Amino acid sequence: MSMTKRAFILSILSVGLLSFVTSCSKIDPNNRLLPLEKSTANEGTRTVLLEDFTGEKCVNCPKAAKAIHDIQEIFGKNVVAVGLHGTTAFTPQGSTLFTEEAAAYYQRFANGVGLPTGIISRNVFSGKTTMPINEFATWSGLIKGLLASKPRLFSIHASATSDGIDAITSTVKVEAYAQENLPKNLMLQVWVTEDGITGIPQDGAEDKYNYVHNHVLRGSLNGIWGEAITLNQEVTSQRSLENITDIKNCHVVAFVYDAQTMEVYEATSVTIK
Amino acid sequence: MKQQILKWGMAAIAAPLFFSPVWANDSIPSAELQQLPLEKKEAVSFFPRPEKWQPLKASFSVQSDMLFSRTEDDTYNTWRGNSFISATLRNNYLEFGTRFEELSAPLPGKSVEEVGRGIPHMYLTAYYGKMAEVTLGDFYDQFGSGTLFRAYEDRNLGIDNAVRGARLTLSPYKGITLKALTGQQRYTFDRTFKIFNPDRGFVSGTDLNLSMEEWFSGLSARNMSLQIGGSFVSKKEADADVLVSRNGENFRLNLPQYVAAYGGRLRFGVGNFVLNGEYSYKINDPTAINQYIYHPGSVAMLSASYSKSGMSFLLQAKRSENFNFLSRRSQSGIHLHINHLPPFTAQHTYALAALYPYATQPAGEWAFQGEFRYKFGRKTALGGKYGTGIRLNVSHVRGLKQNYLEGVDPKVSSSMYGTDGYSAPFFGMGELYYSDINVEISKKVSANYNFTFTYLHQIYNQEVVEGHVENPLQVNPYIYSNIFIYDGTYKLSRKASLRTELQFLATKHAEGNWIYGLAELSFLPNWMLSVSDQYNMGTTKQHYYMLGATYTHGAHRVMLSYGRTRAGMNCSGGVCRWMPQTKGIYISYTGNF
Repeated sequence: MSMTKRAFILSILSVGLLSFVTSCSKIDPNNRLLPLEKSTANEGTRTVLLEDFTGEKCVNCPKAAKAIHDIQEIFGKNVVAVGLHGTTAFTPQGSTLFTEEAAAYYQRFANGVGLPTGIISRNVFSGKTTMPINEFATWSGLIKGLLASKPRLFSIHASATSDGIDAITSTVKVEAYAQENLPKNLMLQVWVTEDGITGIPQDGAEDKYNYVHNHVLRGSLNGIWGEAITLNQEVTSQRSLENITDIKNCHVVAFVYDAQTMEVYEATSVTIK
Repeated sequence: MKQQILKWGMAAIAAPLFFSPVWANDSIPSAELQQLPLEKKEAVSFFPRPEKWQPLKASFSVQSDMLFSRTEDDTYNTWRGNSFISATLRNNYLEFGTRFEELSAPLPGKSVEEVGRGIPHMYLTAYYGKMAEVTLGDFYDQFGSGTLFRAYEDRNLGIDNAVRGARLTLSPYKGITLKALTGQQRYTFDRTFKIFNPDRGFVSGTDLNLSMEEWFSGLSARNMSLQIGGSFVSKKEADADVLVSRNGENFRLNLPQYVAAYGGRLRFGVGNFVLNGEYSYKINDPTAINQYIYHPGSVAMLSASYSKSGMSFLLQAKRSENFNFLSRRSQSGIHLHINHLPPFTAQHTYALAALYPYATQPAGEWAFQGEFRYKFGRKTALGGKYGTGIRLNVSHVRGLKQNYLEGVDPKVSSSMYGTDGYSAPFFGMGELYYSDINVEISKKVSANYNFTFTYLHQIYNQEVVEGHVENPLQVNPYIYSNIFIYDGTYKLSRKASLRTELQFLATKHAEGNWIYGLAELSFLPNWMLSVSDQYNMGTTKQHYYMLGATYTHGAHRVMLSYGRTRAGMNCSGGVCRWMPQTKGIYISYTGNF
């Protein structure tokens, strides 16, 4: 066999080989949305904490904010989302959105990670070595998997009042929900978040010159890392947060986490009366 | 012999350069393209007789950039560094290459996921004359101009999307080049101690080049050339849960596990005139960046150029639509891109000209570029004693006109997910993304002195490129700037020369006016000393100064400097990365053995 013939045969074989590995799947327009089983969320489903590390000078952060909006539509009260502005590169220190608490959490859990990045109940998911997940479109799927695989362990009863200006008082009690295998060394964290804050213009807003940030962390009522708790004991915290724009738009977010692994077991969000 | 082997080794990479040289015009440089030596046609036997096995020869290269940080953040008083050691062993039949990377405490700007240390790149290539080349392991390559497939490395930006797998290049007959490849792209260090990451997808592709002038002597007799090419690329990625809520009901997206893209290209040359055309198409490819729409993607490029001694012109037009091609659909940022879209804007190197650089927009754009160069001859009215060069470059980029489909609101993600999103008339144009008009005059005044003067007028849509507007008081997202640059070199003696730069950027927007000055003293053949300062005269009043010394000896170069750099966008070939500010002592070494 001549060299030329061999070469041609080799070429045909290689193209044939490629046909095995190169395919395409065109999805019919009527078949793009597959019904999702009705949410099985009930009293026995835990509530996850979604920490969204975000910024004002961040190209994809508005897209992540939209993804969170969708997540809240899908999972309702089973997801508590908080926006954390803790990187001076993306939210300059002069900005009213920046908080020292958010900077501490970023440094501990996501130092150097590009924004946006999300942490879901401070879990390290399969295939990952760290908590932060930059691919915000995967958050909903991960939350779905987490809710399906991890039962509820605790319930949190929280209430909050204010002086109408910037002083907030919260009362939180954590109770066991599951009967067994409850973790010990629990910590309670109580945060204040605020909705409806107008920041610098960002792409992707309905009114781009009035970009609105929601569920922004304004500060912690019980220190950056919270406090150790025992079950069934009421914990009261109080603090004035001068950076609040309108206390009517604020919520108190309380969550219980593991002092060793940092995993968040349960979270809740309540309005301030 | 060694030279011939090297040529064969590079043939597969050099082939597309022949195919589309206009995209690689010096006004749109690509670091990689510039490094590749172009193969010259020569009368050698196409199917060489088996050669004697030659001894293997080793070569090494080292690049190390270190910073002793004095920035008052978590890097303060620490050493940071990016180091790369490459080794190659080759002869006339085989080439084995590997690279060690030390990025465990990298220079500022890298995220935690990019931190690591190891040997992420290793390959074995076998050659059989010009006819066949087979690579197993990690490799770089591109099809045509790269709009469908481009695997490359850019260390400045931290990009390395090499493919790990197999590649075959065949030239079964003169004028025919066929490539086929399959594998998984690199993503930082996520495959340490593994060949592949099972959580990520794979890329496969094939490419065919036909050079008609090799077959039809009538073409070459008339000083014509005609080349036709086609590519097919497919990515495979596992299904994933992407949930969407619509009208109170919850759904998951039916995601395509295979996404195919294909295209054709044509290059016609006659005399000094060259015409290039390219069109590519991609089927439904919902990703996080396009808000999971199933809208097909496309890119069309047309370019014409003419050059003769002392004069050249270039005209280019590009329309891209939803043509971001990633091997992970949830990815955002600069990693895991399968393709590369040429920016069609001038790539500036002067500090203030590159202060607001344009980044190719993944959603789509219309881009136009024109460039005209002329050299007034010696001893003419405008040329003077030594001649005068002039270059005019104009680029203009606009978004696509998008008509959103009924029920789709781009501000509400869930309304986009799973739809076609919008329709976009082919010639419809949207808002201005970027505009740059620049004139450069270069003049040799005397035997010892020459200078270049450049004026630029730029309009930069900060909201589109960076996602925000710096100054909330601005009435629109644009930064209008006028930039003046003087660059002069004075030859002090046979071995010593002094180069000075003075730049001024005037704008009422963003951080306001900037000024930059540089003095660079060179002593041939080894030493160069430089001092520079970039100062913001507007809102920040910050100085970004740098004092440096460089020593070059043969293939070795050492640089020591002290100063601070500003935070901002660092771009190359239309791909941009945000870099934080740094301050400290910088030490850099590059060498080849």
